[in-house]
Amino acid sequence: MTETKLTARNVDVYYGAKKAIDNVSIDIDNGIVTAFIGPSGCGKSTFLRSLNRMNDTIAGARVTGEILLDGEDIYASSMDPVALRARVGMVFQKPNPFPKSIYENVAYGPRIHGLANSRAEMDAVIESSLTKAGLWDEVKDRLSDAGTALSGGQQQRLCIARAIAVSPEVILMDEPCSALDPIATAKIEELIDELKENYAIVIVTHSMQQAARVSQRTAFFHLGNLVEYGETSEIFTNPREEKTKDYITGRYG
Amino acid sequence: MSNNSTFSSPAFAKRLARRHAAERRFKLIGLGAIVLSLAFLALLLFIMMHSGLGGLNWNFLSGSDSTDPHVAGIWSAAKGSILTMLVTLLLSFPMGVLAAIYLEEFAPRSRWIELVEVSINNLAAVPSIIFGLLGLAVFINTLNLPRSSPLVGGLTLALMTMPVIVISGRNAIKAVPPSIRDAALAVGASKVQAVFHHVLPLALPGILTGTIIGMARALGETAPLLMIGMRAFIVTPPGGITDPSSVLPMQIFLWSDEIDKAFVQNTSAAIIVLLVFLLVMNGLAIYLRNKFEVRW
Amino acid sequence: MVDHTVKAFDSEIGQLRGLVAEMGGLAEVAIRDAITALVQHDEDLAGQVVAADAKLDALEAEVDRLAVRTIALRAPMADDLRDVIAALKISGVIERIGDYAKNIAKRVNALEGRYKIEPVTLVPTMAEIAESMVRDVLNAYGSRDATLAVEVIRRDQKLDQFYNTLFRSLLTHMMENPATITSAAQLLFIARNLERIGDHATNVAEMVYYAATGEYCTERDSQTDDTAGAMA
Repeated sequence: MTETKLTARNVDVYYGAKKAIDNVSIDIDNGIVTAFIGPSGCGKSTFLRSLNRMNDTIAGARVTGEILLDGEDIYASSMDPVALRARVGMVFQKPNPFPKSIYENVAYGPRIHGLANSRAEMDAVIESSLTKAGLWDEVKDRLSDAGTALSGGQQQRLCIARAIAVSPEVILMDEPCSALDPIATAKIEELIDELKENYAIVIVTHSMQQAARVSQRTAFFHLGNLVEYGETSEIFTNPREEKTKDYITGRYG
Repeated sequence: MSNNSTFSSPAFAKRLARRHAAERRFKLIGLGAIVLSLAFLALLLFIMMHSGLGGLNWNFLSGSDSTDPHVAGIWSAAKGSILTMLVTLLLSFPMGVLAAIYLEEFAPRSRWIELVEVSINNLAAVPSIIFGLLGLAVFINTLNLPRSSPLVGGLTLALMTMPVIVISGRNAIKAVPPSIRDAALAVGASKVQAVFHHVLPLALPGILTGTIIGMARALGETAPLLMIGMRAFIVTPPGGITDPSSVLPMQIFLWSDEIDKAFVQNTSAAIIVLLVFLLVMNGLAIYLRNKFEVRW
Repeated sequence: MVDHTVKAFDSEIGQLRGLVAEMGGLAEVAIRDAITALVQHDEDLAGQVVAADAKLDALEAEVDRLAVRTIALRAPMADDLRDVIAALKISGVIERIGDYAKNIAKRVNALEGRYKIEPVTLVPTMAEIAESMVRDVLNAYGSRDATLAVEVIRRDQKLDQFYNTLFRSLLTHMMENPATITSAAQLLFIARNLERIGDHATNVAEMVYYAATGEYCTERDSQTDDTAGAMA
């Protein structure tokens, strides 16, 4: 099932006078993992953040062009960024659980959006989110412990559970494993593989091996441009563009 | 690269010895500075304790001011201080915190806002007697509020304390890492929700510390309260915030002016009480800060 | 092509390619010497060819080791990956080419003076083609030349035609001169070996094409190999 979830057309992103993203058009499909790769400063994180309007929080950031979620322009004045972010969730590079209990971490989103009407419903949402994030068995007996007391890998899974709890349609991940050890990384990659059945996942990563392991489609960014976008297996065995080839074979720079 | 020979040469050893000697010298000087300043403090405390401890009895603590030094007590001044502090707190804390939140989280970058920021920073450095003049002119002369009351005293001190709370509040809010805000926004919280549900609780210890330090300063202020007339001879403790009253530092000042040598003991005792008050407030600051501190 | 940022990677790929080139050179020599030994009935030379095959086997093992090591340590991608996989497969094929040359050399003794058969004159020419295919395909490998690789694949047809002709004339010869059956049979095997060498060179050409372009060559599918049905 690959119907298109997010479409970007001729998107430019400016930070003040500096152009960070130049004329990028891309289709992100549902049910698969799309990876954004590229050298530092190529704009992949910037573009990711413009998919859920997190760039709105940065003074001087400006996005032109169209980004459509199920056909609706997310930058239209009729689209409320707060509602958008419940549909397009984000997980960050450094795990950032709220300094509250594990329960409260996951409950916050559903609570402010009014997704659970009773304690029982909320408990069910918490359990389901933590289970989907592969964390339930490890924390079910200590839901009132501080979220920050967990290990790095567990914290990141908690952040994923928090994002899932509001039932998003798309999950954006900005280098989710770069602060984690290899075992925690592997667990999260396995989790991403399971999650893709139900969400459209976009992951920004510095590790080409991770992009190769985890994604079905890969987009290579370079200096704000989308250089190549295609099936992951094709990109890594036979890329079309010279720049892509140089980057993935380690001939870059 | 003969590392070995460089590090074992006599020239290197001499240099090393000099560096160690400089470090020892500095440690000595630093220690000396601390000892000197603490010595002065200790001397002050000793003098106060020596002359005042004898006068600290229940009569003193519960009695009101009187022309007779042996009967005079500090209760009315203490009650006046408490009421004034209450008014100051209730006015300056909400104003200061909300102003800090607005300036840090919501205000757009513009010339006007920069002007506001500069003004608030400068207000914190204005001599307190100016606030007294302001209080006299606005609260007493224009608004006709009761002279020498905790209400006016509190209003004046609130004006003085608010900039301190704004500054410490802004620093506390600035210290909250942006990752917390990002996390809240990413889950679909509005800006206001992110600030009040997440940023403020984390900034609270810093805000509280700044508030209590500001309040402690206000507790010891004499000059502005002089201007608004809280130097009268008050015999009965104030019933409410509109009754005329005095404050502790004012009482100390008035007694120190008395010719009767018997008042010396009262003055010293009052100073001890004021110091205890301040110690308690600072202790409260530390306790509250530790209680609300959340590790992230 | 720009160098890898990690220079050791470049040197490892270079080593791999060097080993394959060395194997190719040895295989060429083996073919040439085997045919020379055959034509001049030089049993010593034939013995040398048989002994030299051990070197080819050793080199193949080394290529195996180096390829596995490179994959484990460098995680090669795109054309680097195709290069390494190609080197691995090509070394195996060249080792088999060497085996066929050795096989030809072994039969020199069996012919023993009974080589004055008319069809034998075709063999050196056929060997020339096979040898040239091996040489050219290794050149194509060295310079990543997909066009040359395709050309080598086409040349296999000529080799097959030679084999057809040789097969029929040997059959005819055997039917007319039953006394020469032993020698003729040996020659049949020798010709078969040369034809197989050509097929293997074609395999190498396909791998060279894939390493250079990332696509699979369809040239061979369009050719007709009818040696299976060749009859007198």
